[in-house]
Parts: sequence; C-alpha cells; structure tokens
Amino acid sequence: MAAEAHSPLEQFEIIKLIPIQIGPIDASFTNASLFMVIAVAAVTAFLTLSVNTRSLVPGRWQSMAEISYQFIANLVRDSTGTEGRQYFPFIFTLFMFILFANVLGMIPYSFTVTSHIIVTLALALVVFIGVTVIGFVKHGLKFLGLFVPSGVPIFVLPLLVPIEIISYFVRPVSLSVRLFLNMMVGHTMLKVFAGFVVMLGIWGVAPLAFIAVFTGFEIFVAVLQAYIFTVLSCLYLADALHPHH
Amino acid sequence: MSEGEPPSPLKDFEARLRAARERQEENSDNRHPLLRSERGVSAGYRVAVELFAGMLFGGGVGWYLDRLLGTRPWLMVVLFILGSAAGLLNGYRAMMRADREESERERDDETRRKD
Repeated sequence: MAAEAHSPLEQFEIIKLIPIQIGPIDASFTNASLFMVIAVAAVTAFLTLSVNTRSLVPGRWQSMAEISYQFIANLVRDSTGTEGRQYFPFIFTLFMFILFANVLGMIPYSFTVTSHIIVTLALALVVFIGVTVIGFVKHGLKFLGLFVPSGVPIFVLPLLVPIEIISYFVRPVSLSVRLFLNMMVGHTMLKVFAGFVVMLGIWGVAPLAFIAVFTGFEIFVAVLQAYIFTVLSCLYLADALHPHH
Repeated sequence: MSEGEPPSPLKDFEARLRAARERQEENSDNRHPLLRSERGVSAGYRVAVELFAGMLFGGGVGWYLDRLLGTRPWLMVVLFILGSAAGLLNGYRAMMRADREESERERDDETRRKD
C-alpha cells in the first residue's frame, strides 16, 4: 500500500478533467469547476422543482425552499433596512451557493470547493468590490467618511485613518480566510481520524465513533459558515448604505 | 395567519401583498428566525480570525510593496503593525456587536417573560 495514496490532504487535489488553454491562461475544467457547476445546478433544481407545485399549503420541499427564502429575506431586511432589499437576489444567491458547495463537500468522495482559498477569496472580493462600488455610487466622496472616526481628537487622526483604511481592506481577507479555514481544517481532521481507524485495528472503534459525531458537527459548521459569510456580507452592505459611525 | 380565508380574485392580490409586506415590516423586531447571532465560541473564534487576517494582510502587502520598491524591510514592519492594529479594531468591533446582540436578546427574553 502506497503511503501517499492516503494523505489526508489528497482530497484537496485539483485534477484537470478537460484541459483548456487560452493563451497564457490555464482555463481547464477541473474537479473544482465540476463541483461548482454541480452546486449551481443543485441550487437551481432545488429552488425551481420544489416550488413547481405552487401549492397554498406547502409540502416538505416547498417549505424548505420557502424557509430558506424567508430566512435570508429577514436577514437582509434586519441588517440593511428597506434599502437593502434590492440586493436580496445577490445575497440569496451567495448564501445558497456557499451552502450547497459546503454541504455537497460533506458527501464522501466529493470535492469541497470552499476548502480552496482562491474560491472563497474570489467570492469575498466580489462582495468587497461590489459593496465599495455601491458605497461610492450612493454617497459619492462622502463614503470616505467611513474612514474618519467621529469624536476623535484631530492629532490622532493621521494614525487612525490608515488603521481604518487597512481594517477596511482586511475585510475580504478575514471573510475568505474564515470560510476556507473552517472547511479545510474540518475535512483534514476527518481524514486524519479516518486514518487512525485503520491503524488502530480493533481499537479503531474509538476514532470511528468520534468521526460519526464529528461528521454531524461538520455539517453544522458547513451551514453555519454559509450563514456567517452571508451575515458579514450584509453588514458590509449596511456599512456601504449607511456609512456613518 | 388565518387559514379559512376564501381565495379572493387576483386583481386585489397586489394590494393585499403590499399590505401584508407593510404589516410584516412593522412587526419585524430585528429577530432572525434561527441562529440569531454567533454565540460564545464562534464569536471568540471570529475575533481570532479577524486578528490573524489583519496581520496576514499587513505583513503580506508590506512584503509585496517592499519587494516592488526595494525598501526591505521597513514597509513590512510598519504595515504589519498597522495591520495588527486594524485586526484588533475589527476584532473589537465584532466583539462589541456580539455583546450588544447578547444584551438585546436578554432584554427581549425578560420582556417576554413578563408578558
């Protein structure tokens, strides 16, 4: 048995399924792309098929779709107010995509796209750039007032303003690192403990029991992280819509 | 919601929908149906990530600018410190928000118990 075949990090390997080369850019269709397409297809199928019946008294699938809609609608309204409603489609898409990508990753032999920082960083940068553009469009140069804390003596401003600006630019980093770390660490832990099961022989029952519990916890984390990513996106959006603090 | 309502014609549907939305708007009491805020452990964990991200960003940008401008290691030192400060600031704000939500929830619970 080759040792490298059981590396706990093997699950994160990117495999080119259809190599595509456009000039200097490697645009191959990889297993990551495949699972993103699967996530999008699954979300679309879930939301369209479940509300297809359009019954007044919702069935199981329809209530699941309606609960997720209601959940995010409330979240957007509570954190950004009524002006935030027009951004609901984006926030809802973001939540459903991350949720499905996370949860699909919990299926054995599947691939977790959100355990790659490039994916989460791309998502976070879309939010960050979008929110910044919205802020400037809505408030013009007054949006820069976000970086000047109020009620502060003028001689500490030269120190505080750079810190505020950096703390603004840190947002996409912490947003993406949080999701990526949670997914990667959880999946690595599962694989490491799965390795213990084989190594310990009969005593492998103990790590096996741990894995059973931990898998449940990981599914919880998958949902929670999708929620946290969405909440923070909403908070940043709220900052762009009402930039006075 | 009353369930015995007879299905009314579609023409006043828009009006009823708007009325229902307005009613919901009034009734909204800043409450998410589940998982209202990150509690305890995950709030603390958030702050840790916030600190880490601040240092990572400051150090990373400093390192890159140093390489670009040939000012090694000064920008990295300065930006690392500023980044750590920014991380602390973000962490502090996240903590204050979690704290505020926690106390709001407690107040809500108390008022509901009195009712």
